[in-house]
Amino acid sequence: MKKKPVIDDETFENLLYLSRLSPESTNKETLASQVRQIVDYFEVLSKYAGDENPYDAYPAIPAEVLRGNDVGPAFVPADLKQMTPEFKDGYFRVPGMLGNDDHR
Amino acid sequence: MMTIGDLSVTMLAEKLASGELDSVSIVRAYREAWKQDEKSEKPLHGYIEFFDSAESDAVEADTARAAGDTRPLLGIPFAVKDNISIKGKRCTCGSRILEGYVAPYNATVIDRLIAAGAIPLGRTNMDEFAMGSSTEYSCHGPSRNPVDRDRTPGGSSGGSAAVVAGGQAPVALGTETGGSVRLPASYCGIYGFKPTYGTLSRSGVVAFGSSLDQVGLLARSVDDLGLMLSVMAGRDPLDNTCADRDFSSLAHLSGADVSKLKIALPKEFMDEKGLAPEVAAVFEETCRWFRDRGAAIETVSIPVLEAAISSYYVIALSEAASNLSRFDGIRYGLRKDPLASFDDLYVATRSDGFGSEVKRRIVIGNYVLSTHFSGDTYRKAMSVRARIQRDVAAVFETHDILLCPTNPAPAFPLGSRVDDPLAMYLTDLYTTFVNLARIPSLSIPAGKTSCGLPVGVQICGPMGGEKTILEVARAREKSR
Repeated sequence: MKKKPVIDDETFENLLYLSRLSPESTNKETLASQVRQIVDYFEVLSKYAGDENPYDAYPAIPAEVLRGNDVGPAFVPADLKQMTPEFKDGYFRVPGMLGNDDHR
Repeated sequence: MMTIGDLSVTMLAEKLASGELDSVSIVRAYREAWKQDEKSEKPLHGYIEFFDSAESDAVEADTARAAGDTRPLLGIPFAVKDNISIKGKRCTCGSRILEGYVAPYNATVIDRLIAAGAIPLGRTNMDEFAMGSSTEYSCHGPSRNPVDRDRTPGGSSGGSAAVVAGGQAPVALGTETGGSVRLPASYCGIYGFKPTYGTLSRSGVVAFGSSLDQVGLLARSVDDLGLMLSVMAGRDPLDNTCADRDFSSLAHLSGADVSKLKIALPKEFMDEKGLAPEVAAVFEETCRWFRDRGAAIETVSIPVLEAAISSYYVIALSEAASNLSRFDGIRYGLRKDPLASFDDLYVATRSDGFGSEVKRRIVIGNYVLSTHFSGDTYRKAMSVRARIQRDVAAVFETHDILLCPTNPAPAFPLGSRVDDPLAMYLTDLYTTFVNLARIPSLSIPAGKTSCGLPVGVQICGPMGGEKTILEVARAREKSR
């Protein structure tokens, strides 16, 4: 049987980094213990083989209830222009980036 | 004597059409109910904002009616969960990170309701980014249950349930990822409907778990659900998951012939240790009602349901970790800039802007998405989902509907689970399989416990089976 993965302190630090969350912003011990408890609960999934194809799992859906695979009208530039007043000279105005509260 | 707060959408529409009421008095009555309640010792706190614009919209509706306008929802107000965009209004998703964010466009469901004459009344409270079952994870503070104000109204669409059950709106929009409409409807004693995945457009709805999310409705009557769905559903080029289906016939429902129904009861749910005896008793009474009218009820076994909660949380949290990566301090709402690197900006903003439950879910989502850390957990969850979809679809090849309780227990006291996330997750025991299987499900008010707390029962149908579900529920509603 495959060894159950463990969330040690180093893994937890890595997860906080991946999540772009600072360790100081939270009670690290409490969060780590809650995450471990919840992940342990997922253990029931190991009883099931990972061999089902999620995209083949609709045997009883009548075709008529699904939308046809037709190419239809979607956004054109005129629609996008209508959705924003912030459009000029072929460009959209977007929020400014770091250190600059002006819009560009 | 009935007040405006006791009336359903269809009753209000009749009174508007006959001239007995006008839209301005209806909006004023809801505003007054909300204002008076806010002054009480334990306010419902269902609304985050009651729109000043509602009254001027009502004036326009009354003027239009006087000029001969007969749109189906003309002058009918509705409340909106705070993760559905209304142009020019704030949309915080119950989170500090969206502080000050104003929606630049309407969600498609809002556009369609406004086009049918309806009036947005206000934004309702919710768990942060729809992650929770009690509204206690909202940055605006929790809402209260109108039936017992020391208890939760449920979540995440708890504000929507509280305003409908509390007589502050006739109907409200909510959203579901794993039961967030049905659960609060059950706790508050009203109807809560989650349509088939793809029935309603999600354009303009803030994403949580994109393969599971669906807009839902909280209402006082089955006819209201049909009427609302009839104008909200239909293909939307802004959401490619939205099905091209005509629901106009739902505006006028007739009751189903219950005697011809074949009903499935999942054995795994009935054997569940966490099912409270009083909830089990109400469920048994509901089954008896169907049986007494000639319906054929059969117990079915779907063993994979034991893994539904785990499969749901792995998939939902993986998708949430990805969806919430857009909240980086640059594009939306809050920005905390330590004037260092991009990364420092992201970390400072997200650490300050997200609440504890959202942080917890993002960390778990990133854990299960990484094969390096968690092995094949995500793949297994997806495989279990496929099996649930297949097994549930097989049940509907031989049965018309599936019945089960909405929650294992009635509404719990505020504060009793907020520090125990796993206990909070387990309140979704009977609801998540519906979202995994993408089927429609309606929680109906089925009875009460000895201390008067509402108990809901779910009527689930096959994909696209909205009409069957609503007509079965209507037959039961009319008999009570």
